[in-house]
Amino acid sequence: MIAGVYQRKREGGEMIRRSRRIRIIIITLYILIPSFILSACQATEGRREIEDLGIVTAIGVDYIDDNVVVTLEVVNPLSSIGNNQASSNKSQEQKFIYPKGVGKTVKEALTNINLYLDKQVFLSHSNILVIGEEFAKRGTIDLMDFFLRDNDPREDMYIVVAKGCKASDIIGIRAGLGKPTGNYLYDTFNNFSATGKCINISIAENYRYYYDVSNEPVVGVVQLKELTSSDEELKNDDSTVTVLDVSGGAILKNGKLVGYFDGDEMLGFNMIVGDLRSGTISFHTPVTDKDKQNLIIGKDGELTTLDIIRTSTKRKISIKDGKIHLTIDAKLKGALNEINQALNVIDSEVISRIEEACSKKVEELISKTLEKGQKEFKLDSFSIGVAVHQQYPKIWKEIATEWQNIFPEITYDVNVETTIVKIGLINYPANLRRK
Amino acid sequence: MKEQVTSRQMMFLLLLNRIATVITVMPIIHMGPANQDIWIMMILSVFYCFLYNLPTLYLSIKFSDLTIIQYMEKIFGKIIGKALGILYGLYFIRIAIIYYFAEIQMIRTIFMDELHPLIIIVVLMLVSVYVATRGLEVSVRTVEFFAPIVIASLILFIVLGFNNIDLTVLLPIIADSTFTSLNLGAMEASLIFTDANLLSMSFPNLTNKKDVFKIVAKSKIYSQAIIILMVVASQVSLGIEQARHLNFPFLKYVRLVKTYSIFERMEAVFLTIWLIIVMTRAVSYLYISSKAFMEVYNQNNMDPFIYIIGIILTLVIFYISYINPKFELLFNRDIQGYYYYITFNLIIPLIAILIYLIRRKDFRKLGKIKNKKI
Repeated sequence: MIAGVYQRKREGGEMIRRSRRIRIIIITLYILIPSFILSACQATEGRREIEDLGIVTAIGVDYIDDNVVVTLEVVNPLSSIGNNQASSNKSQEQKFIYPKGVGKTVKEALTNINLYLDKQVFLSHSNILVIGEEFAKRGTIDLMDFFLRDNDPREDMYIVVAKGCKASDIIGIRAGLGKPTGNYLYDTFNNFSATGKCINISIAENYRYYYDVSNEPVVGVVQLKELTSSDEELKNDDSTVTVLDVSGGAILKNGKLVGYFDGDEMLGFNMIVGDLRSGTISFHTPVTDKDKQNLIIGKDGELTTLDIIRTSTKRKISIKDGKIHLTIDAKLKGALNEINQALNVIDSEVISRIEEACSKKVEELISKTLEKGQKEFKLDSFSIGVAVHQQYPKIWKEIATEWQNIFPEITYDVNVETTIVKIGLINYPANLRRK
Repeated sequence: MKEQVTSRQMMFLLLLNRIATVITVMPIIHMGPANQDIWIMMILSVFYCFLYNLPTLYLSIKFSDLTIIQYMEKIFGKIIGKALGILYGLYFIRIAIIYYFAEIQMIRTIFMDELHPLIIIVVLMLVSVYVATRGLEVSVRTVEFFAPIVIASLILFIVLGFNNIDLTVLLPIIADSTFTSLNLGAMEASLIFTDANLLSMSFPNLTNKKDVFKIVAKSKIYSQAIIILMVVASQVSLGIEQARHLNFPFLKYVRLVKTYSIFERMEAVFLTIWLIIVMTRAVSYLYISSKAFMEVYNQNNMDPFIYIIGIILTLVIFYISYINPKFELLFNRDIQGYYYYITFNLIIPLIAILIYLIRRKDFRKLGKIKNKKI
């Protein structure tokens, strides 16, 4: 009997050992097999080694002589990063190249690049798509299909129009501390939240507005700008340096460029659409009889500058005598950060005057932008139609198809309320003696 | 020994199946008014889902120890019953084909665009066949483990895309839709969810059959809530019309996630979650179609049927995805599928109920119904 018990125990132990061995084999196979099968090095198809890739950081598309011209900024990932210099275009090892491809379609042009470029073009890291002005005027929708259909290009890359030039003129300008154009432009567009004078619209956002019956998209703009260089080294060769300026916005209608808003108008635009997160406004505050007590001791300047901290916009639609009326109520909270005028900012009455002056300036900006949209472009790029649709859905059904003809005729009033919430580190400006 | 499935496991299995129906192609955004009111349509569709499931649910309760294949044979007799069993088996295979096809399409379009489809299909099928041969109990235990992770991940994806969300897209509410269009859409949307088949094939394995209404209610309500969140997130971030132009709207939403410069390019994470969801569904249908044929042929071993159906699926899926692609099956409304759904989930069960009610006394007399009172 005891022998039987030992026998069973031995068998049980053997079974446990065997199952443990099987488990170890399964785990080992589980780790080994995927490392062989899934490793890109071993695959014959679909492998993507970093040294085989031409990592694209910016894409430019032009339309020249009935051909699509694609210009890429390709980064050499294996070049040394250590010798990055702000103005060096070529280091010992080439960091960036700018191949161009020509074809009847975007894909064909891209494929043609690989006829002479040894690296496989890889678009997933591109954050910027620059559209040449001529191409934008021609209309882009038909040739943009590739960027929506293909898996490689990201739908969150910013789409921008090259104002007054070709996309190929933009690609290659590197004024941003040695960064490639794509990253330099991308970071500059991300300053949108700080300046409010530009707009960063991704491909996906662009198409969201494009499909709207009542709305036309406004996309970012980039233009070449010559600046006088302050760099001592450069001064000997060339006194100017080319940078990229992103202020303004390009207005598209059915994918065709119809015009531009400048930087100030974009402030108004962003305020109208309720997307102004930050920015700076300079304005004159009219104050009469301010030097009654002979307190001004320095030059009395003209302007006051306010940093926008927060804004909110409400757009109310009403129907007056059968006509659509738009009321824009905007609220703005700001911080005083530069006062050139001799203003006593710890006097609540003066603060109220500054607030009023700021509100008036913003109202002017909004009105100017709206007027340009109505009179010059005759196009609703402000999503006003969307507001009508949301607030008067029954009326909208009747006017939806005619909206772009109705929009120029709508009346509007703008009310801005400014609240100054910070006055900075000093109270009286230096040109005013404290009582 | 009969495999046992707990109420919680069954609830998660049905829930993942319902989410899998929508997560890839999201056909519901084209239904009914096809506008910003889809979420209302989806709330209404919960009612229609219940309604459509009632006939099979009623029969499952009456024949609680039998699957739909087995009780059809009891009700209609041997010849018609066997024929119906084969038809049900083929219907389940059709559903499995469409889901594998959707998987292949998405994998080939987004994740492994250069890999030969045959490799993807064979790998997927080997995994599916292996899982199916392990039996229902192992599958549902896996589902029970993964479902909370999957649900939490989906909610996380939706939350992380908050900066792309513009809820005003959902305005005006109901103004652009009619009551009729919302209801017709809800009815159509209910036809794409085939979880009732899974329940009717696994009903005998339920440990607590009294919980069946709770299982159905919970799985439908929870899944519908997650589906509504996915649909709304896709619509409000991409816009109504752009979402309709996309083959994989929720994937696009995930690709747009860019939060705090940390959470971005999350497709790889999404792929893992998505694979768990869609594989659950595909494997379930491979399993129940094999089970249907096993019962038709009165066999005890399901493995040969799983292997045969696995091979058939591999060949058919390779054919429709590579040799003669049938995109309309995925990216267009599957009208043919609706006819099948109505036939197999409404018409045949309703006729079966009618026959059952007429012959109820016979069944009682013959003692053919076990556990008639649940």
